[in-house]
Amino acid sequence: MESSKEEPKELETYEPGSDADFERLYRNTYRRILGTLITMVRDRAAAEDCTQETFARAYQNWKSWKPDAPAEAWLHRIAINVAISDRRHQQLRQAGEVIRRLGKPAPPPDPANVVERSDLVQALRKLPAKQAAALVLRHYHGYSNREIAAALGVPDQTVASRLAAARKQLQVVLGRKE
Amino acid sequence: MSDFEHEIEQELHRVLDSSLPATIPAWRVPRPWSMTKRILGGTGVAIGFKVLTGVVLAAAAATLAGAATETVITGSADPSVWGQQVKLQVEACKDKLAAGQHGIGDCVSDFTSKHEEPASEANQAPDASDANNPGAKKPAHPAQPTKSPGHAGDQTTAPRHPSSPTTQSSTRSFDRDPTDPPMTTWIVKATPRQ
Repeated sequence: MESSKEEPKELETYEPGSDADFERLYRNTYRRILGTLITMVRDRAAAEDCTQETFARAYQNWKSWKPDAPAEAWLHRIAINVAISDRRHQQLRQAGEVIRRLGKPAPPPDPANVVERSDLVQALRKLPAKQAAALVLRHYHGYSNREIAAALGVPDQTVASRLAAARKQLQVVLGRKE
Repeated sequence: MSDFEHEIEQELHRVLDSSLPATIPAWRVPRPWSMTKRILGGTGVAIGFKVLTGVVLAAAAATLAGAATETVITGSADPSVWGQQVKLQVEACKDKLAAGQHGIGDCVSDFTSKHEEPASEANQAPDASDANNPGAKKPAHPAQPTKSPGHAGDQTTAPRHPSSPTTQSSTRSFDRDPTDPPMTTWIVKATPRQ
């Protein structure tokens, strides 16, 4: 619970185009954006790369950001797009890796890595990116469906249907009964 | 909230809270490209490279064309050979002169003319129609040399003699020498009239 409550996002205000305010936004939201991306891309290193890419893209558009929506929601929208792009590239890379690994056993995952040992995180990475993002925003960051809808730029009903689909898929993958 | 949703929430916090870094890497503002980089690394380099390539190619083409012409004339690709051949010819022409006689211009000119003909034939060779009909472009009569627009008036006011040295370069092949075959044969071969 600590991560989602350490920065009260409603109280933070930022001035578009201000370098100092962007740096403050970076410090306040880095860990939350990284937490979301860890559940969406293949591993921790890729999540860190995507987080940096997210803030780089955000900085390019920082002057045109409109403070009518929370800055963190805006960042999450960028982060989800970055993760979707990374997934596409990963699918292309996997084809080459499969050919290179033919006949060789796959390297075992690092047992010290809690994330890599989590069945839930592994199942989330197999979900469609937008479903996984909705689930993490709802159950890790504590967003309401309306806030998720604003962050992703979709209607509330779309968020509700994505959450329902994600839960159903997770129950199947994790072997839970409703 | 169902039990499953509660389980998801607890698992996410257990996994992510323990794996997120305690320290946040420093934010470095991406620097926009400076004007120098725009000039050196963008369109300026591309255009400059193309211009430089064009100049180099033009210079190389001119050099190769000159060398090829001299090679055809002298029969050697070595420039020193070209000068040597002319020098030898000059010496030979001097030896031919009798004592007290002057002027080797005709002798040297004959030598250079003989070496120019292969070159001019080589330039006309790609045209198949000319190769099959060598006299097609030649004037029908020696008294009608090739005219240039800037000298049209000269032809009417001051007609030149067919064997005049001033017209020799352009109408040499049409001048009749004592060793030429009869006129009728020459006309049939050079310009077949329709």
